[in-house]
Amino acid sequence: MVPFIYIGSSFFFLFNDNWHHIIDNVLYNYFINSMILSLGVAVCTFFIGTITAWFTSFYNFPFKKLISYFLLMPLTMPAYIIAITYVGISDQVYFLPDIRNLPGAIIMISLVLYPYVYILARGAFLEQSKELYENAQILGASPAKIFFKISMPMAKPAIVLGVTLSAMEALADYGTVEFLGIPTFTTGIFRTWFGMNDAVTATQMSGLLLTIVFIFVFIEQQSRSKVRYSESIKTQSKFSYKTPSNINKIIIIFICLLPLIFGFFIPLFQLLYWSIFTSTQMWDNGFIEIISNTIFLSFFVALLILLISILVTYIKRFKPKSLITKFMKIITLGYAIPGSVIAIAVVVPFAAFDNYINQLLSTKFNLSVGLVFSGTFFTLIFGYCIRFLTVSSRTISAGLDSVSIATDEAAKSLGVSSENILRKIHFPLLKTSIFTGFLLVFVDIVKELPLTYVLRPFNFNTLSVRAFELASHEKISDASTAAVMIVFLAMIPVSLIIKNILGKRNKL
Amino acid sequence: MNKKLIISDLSLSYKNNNDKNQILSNIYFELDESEIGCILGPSGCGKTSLLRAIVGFENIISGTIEVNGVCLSSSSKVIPTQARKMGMVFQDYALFPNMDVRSNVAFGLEHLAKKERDEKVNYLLDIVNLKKYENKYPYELSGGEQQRVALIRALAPSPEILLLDEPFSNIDTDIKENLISNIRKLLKEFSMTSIVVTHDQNEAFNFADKISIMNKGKIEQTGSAYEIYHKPLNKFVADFVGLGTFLQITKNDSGIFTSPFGVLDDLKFDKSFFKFKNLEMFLRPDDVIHNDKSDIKAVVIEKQFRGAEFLYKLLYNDQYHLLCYAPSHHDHKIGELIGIELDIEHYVIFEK
Repeated sequence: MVPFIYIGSSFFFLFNDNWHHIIDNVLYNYFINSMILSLGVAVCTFFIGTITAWFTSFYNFPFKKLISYFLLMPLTMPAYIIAITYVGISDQVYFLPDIRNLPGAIIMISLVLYPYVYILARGAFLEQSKELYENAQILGASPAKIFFKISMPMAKPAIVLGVTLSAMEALADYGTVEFLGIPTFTTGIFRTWFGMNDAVTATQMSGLLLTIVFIFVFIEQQSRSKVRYSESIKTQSKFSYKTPSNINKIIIIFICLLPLIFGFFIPLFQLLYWSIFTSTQMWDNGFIEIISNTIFLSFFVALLILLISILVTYIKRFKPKSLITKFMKIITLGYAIPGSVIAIAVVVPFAAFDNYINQLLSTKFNLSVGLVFSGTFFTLIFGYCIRFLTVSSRTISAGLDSVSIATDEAAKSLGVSSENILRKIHFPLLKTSIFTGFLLVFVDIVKELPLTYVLRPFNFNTLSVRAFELASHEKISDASTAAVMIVFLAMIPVSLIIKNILGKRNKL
Repeated sequence: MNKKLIISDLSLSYKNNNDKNQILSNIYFELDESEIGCILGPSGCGKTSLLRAIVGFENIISGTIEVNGVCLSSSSKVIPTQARKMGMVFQDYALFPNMDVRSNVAFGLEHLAKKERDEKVNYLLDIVNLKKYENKYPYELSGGEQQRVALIRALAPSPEILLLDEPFSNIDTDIKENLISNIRKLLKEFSMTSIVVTHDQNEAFNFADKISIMNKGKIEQTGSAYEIYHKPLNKFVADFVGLGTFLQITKNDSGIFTSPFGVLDDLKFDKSFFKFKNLEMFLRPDDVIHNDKSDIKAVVIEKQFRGAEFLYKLLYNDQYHLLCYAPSHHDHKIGELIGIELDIEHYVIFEK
């Protein structure tokens, strides 16, 4: 809570000269760039995600299953890494356009974020009942009319959610825009904070960014609350158009492969290619330490966040009116908040707190304890918790919602103890959600850059920080080994999640 | 009168993991202009597949489907669903949840000019008394209201044939009968050639002019409700439609057929059965009449109270089961011997 109050209260601080300087010279630029970036990403991910989802939901073509699966793979690619890769490629291949500009950043970020829209749109399309489509056909509707009048309006809440998530991620992006040299809010915050050493102004900018983010969240929730389609799904069989002609099949496959090739295969193989040449220099003890740092940190923090999520979810279930439930509603907005904002919101208050403690102890007891919170794992883990608690708690609470209260009551009426209800009923039913929640957080932590970059303890490196640092020093091919490791680390859980969620529903 | 729909020798199969699964075989089915036909059969008999073949969702492997003399489906030719001019009411209505009632009804009318379209929608909404709900969304309507919307939505583009897939299965029993006769009246007013698919014989009896009994992908018998009930062509139809029991018939050396109740009258059944030795006779509960004065007695082994009457399950001569309706003031106890007599106009005989 403290970090939010701090950000909110920052507007009451004195606006210093830097603030006026920023307002006069760069803020407009930051604002315009950030808005163009997030809107551009929204538009691109909307088209890529919806079109691929539409084809893989309703048409039959060869390798459909494989393609629908791989279309999610760009989730393993942090945007800054594919930006690094493409800059590397375009430096070597002279006829490729330079991507160190706003359109370049939009394309880079969209290529890795479209899976959000794809997965949500696809889920929504597949839940639409077969009868509706058949009925529309009987009433003489063409595929285009069906698409615009039925599929899209019904999938709108899901698509809006996917697009908003992408737009917010784009707004929160630090690595890509910093690397491509585009001044945005996030880079501006860091520049003000570290370059001008002005935490207050940086916080005020964070507050502004946060306001924009909340406007996005508000828009998304507005679009959701209007919709109350209570459509029950009875049929298991899914609607699909008659198998398209061979030429159309090739066109469909081509369209679906495009984002996959550019968002996953080209960067992955380029990175692999580079890392083969540099790996001998890169694989030293230091690098192995970085890998194990990343794995241990991601694993244990994901576990911690998981435990907190389970606790929170159960409190919400059994005491829906408690203060904690309301409090959690605020906390779980965390995912919407850019990592850079969380970083500043965590560091500054804790640093102040540390100073206060030190002052107190040294004046009263003549002791010096140094830094207690700031610059330690505590702040790093705290930051992660704020940012990623949403991810796992939403997953788990969706799982728990599907276990009806009546199930608990039935078990109780049969004389089963509460402990056994959890062990024998809830755990087996929630296994997948818990597992998925854990993996999602794990992947996010492996990929996360700005938060880790700022909050990590001195001399503590992770793969994402390492890759970004090397790339920023124009050592792109040196960065490749770390980048490849990130992708591989993310690939294992992402494959598991895809298998778990989609495989079970037999929808791929 | 011209035949509106002619289905001849239709077969349909699904390929399921190299396993060919015959769904429909050699179906013949015809409907006159504005006739209401019914496909009645147990679940999984293929009746919905037949509807889907008529609309064009299933490709048939042999035979033809013709409407007004034009072939819609054959093994080599398939006219797409959109061009078939069929109307369909789905079991769970399949109303478009993102559109209000008016837009749902207007969905199939986009080829009309706006004014004409509005007039038609208004007219249809008025007919089913839904004008006041025109701006409501499907989830705000009751099941019966949703069904009426689905019905007029299907009728709006003036289809050649209206197909109804289990249309009454989600309707409460107490309003069902009324609803069935209202919808039947409406379809007749529109002179709408229709096919209803159901597993419920009472719906079939009340709704259709003509009933086809379907089992395991084959049509077993087509006829009026009376014919189906009283002159079933085979044991499946006899057993599936209404209640009844089978009695053993034997032929002695001099060629005389006897049932447990005595000698049978040769005139009351088909000569073609005379050549067989072992036959069975099918008895409806209304063939067995309760008469306290009768000398033939049977033991009550089960009874069901049905309001106006009791349905008694009886055991005759320790081995023959019979069913009998008796007015409900004839309240006999289980185990009691009661008098019965047979009143059969025409024997229903099957080869055993």
